[in-house]
Amino acid sequence: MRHLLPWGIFALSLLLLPWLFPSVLGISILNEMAIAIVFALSYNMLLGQGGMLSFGHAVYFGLGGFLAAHAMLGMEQDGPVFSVTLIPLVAGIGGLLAALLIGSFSTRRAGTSFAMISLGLGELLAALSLILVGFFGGEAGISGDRSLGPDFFGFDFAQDRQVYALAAVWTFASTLLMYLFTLTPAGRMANAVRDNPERAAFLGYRVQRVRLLSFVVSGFFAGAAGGLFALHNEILSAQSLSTANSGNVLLMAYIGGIGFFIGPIIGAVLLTLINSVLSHYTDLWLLYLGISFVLTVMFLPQGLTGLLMMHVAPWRRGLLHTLLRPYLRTAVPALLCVSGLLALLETLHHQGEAVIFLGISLPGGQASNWLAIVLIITLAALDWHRSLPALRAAWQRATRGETP
Amino acid sequence: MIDALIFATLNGLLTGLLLFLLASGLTLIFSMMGVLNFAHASFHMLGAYCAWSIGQFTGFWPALLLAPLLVGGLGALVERYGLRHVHRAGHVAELVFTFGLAFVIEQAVQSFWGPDTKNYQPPALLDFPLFTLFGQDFPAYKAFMLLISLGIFIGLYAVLTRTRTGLIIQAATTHPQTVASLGHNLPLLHTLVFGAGSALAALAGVLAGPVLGTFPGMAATLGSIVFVIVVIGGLGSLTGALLASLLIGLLQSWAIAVDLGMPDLLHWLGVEFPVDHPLRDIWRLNLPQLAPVLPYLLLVLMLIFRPSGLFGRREG
Amino acid sequence: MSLLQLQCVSKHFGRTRVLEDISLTVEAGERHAIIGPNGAGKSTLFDLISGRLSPDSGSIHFRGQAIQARPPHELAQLGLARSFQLSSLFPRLSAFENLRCALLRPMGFGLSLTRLLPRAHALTARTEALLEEIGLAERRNTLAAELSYAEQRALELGLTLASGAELILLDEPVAGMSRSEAAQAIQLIRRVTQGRTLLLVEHDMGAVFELAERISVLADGRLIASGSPAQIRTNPLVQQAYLGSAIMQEGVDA
Repeated sequence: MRHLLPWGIFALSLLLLPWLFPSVLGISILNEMAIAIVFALSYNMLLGQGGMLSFGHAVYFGLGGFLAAHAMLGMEQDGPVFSVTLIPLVAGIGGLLAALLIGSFSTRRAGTSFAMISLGLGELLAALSLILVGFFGGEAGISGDRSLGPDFFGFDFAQDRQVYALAAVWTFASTLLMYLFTLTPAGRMANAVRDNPERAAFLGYRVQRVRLLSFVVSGFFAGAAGGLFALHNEILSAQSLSTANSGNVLLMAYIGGIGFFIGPIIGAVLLTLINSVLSHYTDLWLLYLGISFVLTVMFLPQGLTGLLMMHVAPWRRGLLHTLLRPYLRTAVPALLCVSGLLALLETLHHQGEAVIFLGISLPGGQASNWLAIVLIITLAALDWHRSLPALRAAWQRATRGETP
Repeated sequence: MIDALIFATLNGLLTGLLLFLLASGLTLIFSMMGVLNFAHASFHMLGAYCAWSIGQFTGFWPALLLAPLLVGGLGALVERYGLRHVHRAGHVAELVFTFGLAFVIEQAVQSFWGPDTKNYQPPALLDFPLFTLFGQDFPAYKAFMLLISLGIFIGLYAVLTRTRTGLIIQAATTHPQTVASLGHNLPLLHTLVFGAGSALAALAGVLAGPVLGTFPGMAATLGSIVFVIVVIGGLGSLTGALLASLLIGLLQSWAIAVDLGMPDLLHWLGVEFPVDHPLRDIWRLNLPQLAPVLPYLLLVLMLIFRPSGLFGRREG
Repeated sequence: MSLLQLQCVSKHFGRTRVLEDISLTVEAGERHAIIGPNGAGKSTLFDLISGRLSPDSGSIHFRGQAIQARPPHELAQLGLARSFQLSSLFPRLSAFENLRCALLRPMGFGLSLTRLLPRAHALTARTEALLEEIGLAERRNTLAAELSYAEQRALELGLTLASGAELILLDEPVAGMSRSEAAQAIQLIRRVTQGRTLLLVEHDMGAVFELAERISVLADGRLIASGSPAQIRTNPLVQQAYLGSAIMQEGVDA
């Protein structure tokens, strides 16, 4: 029963969130989150579970999306053919077929070679999408009306709320299926091939076939996510299959934590939030996102989930509270230092203009101000550094169970 | 026709040599450290921007020297305090790290230099047409770029094959353990090569900035192409990188110059398609349109049929 | 018909001749050891038989089928399993998961997308039993990368033996083990290879003379002798190859 609990929480959150955030913007963000979750999970099926670093995963997302857009367009022209609820399925099958075609040669090797092929194909398709105007719609993209399908138990999917219902069901089902995949022999062998392809071959497995299977399943869910995206936006442009979109999904999975099933979910939720909320507060949010990503790769290779999981051991020992004081002690100078850096970056960005930062007005272009900020950063950094040994010691006591 | 081809060839050679300035550093870094540096083209961009900024105070010539030095130093810092830290986590983490770095640099350039194209001009000294052919001018600055690029190639070749440091670097790419056990400081060598590679990329940026434009997207447009070159040339091969650079430079330049395409082919074959044929986009394709696609097509074909590249020693 | 038959197999690396004209047969049910001084070509021979390398000339037959150009996964499916001199494990999977991966194919799970591992009770039971047998039951949930050297060797053996293959190739299974660990491993190999065919490369002469019924000796890329342990011990060619080294003496005492 215990392993059903997370699924209950997941289903309940999907169910309750639209009531907590009923505004148009709220529902729109929730839709984007649901789509991002499916996309990021499908990506991690390659990176985290199969050891395949892809820089072109948006290809399957985009192709699925364009297929969905064409399906909607077709219904606009020829009348309702099949239910709109099945559009993600159509898109998924499109993604699956594309993955089968491309995977048949790209999965021969993992590592750098795979990464390069995925990048090359991503760029190739992005460039082609601007040439093949008939299918990709050129600069304008392809738009379709999602409300023209046959009536589905009174739903015509004209409103975002109804689309959310559809996206939530698809997201829950996709997440469950992708989780179950990790429990199948195919999913476990994907881990084995990630770790040691040669040994897997000597156990009688064709390594390429193991990778291809993951790749194709991942392509299906990426395509389905693209289909949901097309339903949500009712327009699809070349942006969706660009390498920038591929990079975005890598960020989601990595920041969330590629070593855990739940990691990409956390990453997808967080990045969608940052994307839609933080961008209202600062022009520099993409820079901050990039810096956080690089810092994650350097200091939290297991992502945010890994950071959370580190606390399980102290919690089981009942020593979590012993970490509170050292954490607070470090947090104060750390926060001061980081906000100092942010203030510096913001004033630099606004070159000479006044900046309102954290409610404080910082007149730009005054040397004394800059000096003050730099001084604060330096002092805070020094104090931060000084607080670390105590934190480290507290950690050791808490994880190894040694009492002070 | 013939005049267009001659100019296309000259421009292709120029692009090729510029690309080689980028690719040489990338391939050298790859063969030493086994990591393809996504941020390489970002250093190229930083080179152009730094040169533009420094040039505001000093003019073009000091900037030509200072900007690569500055960016090279930054590259060395990145290797020492970033890449080396990530190295323990394996190649995938390294690749992801450099990817993130490229992202950060692009955003930083956007934020602090602004999203618009900088008015970065060639120096007045070289702002005249070197010769006029078929009524078209060939700028002296382009000839200067050609000369510098060639000079760098020869210099690099000489350093790698004739000097002690060069020989150690070469040995370190194939037998790192042996080199380390002979008492050479391998990590320091990595930092140096990474810094030098970044400086070369920045130099290419300083040179290319006035011609190809100095804008925040310049790294993204060039970055993937340089990867293509390094893979096609055979990861780690300097000669391969040179040939692949020239190949890509010429191919793109010719494709743009030669305005032929499917309509001509179909016409020649005597085939006609209705204007609203479902595959009309394909029947209308022409070479100038395909120019940006060609490198990636070449890359994919190469990786399918000859994964080790033209001159590759290693297999991915 | 012999289970494994090598005819005139040669292998060169560049100009270096590693194996020259090797002909060797292994009968079904036999425990056969290959010995020889360092650099004699033993590991290369193993790589040729198991499909990691292919020979320049000559043929290798397994169960009557020519296998010299087949990839490793096909050989494994034909019933040939090998271990590696340097443990080759799945480092980020637990000891239990490692063994379960090795048992998937022989137990008919293949690459199924429809069967769930937590529900495969027979598979779990078999994995636990094997874990017990190689003495890693207490390290069940430890990642392979975090096991001690001896434990990794045991797991390596487990991965090889799990396949239920008819021909088992073991590349120095007791290398680097202490006396008592080696003795345990030998007991395990004996027990698990009951009724199967074993081909073994080993430096530890104690292990060789305890396990093998037949011994072939490689020296400088050639097969110089093949016979029962007693024959090999007294073979002057063999003694010359080892130059009366202490290893043979050790074997006699064992």
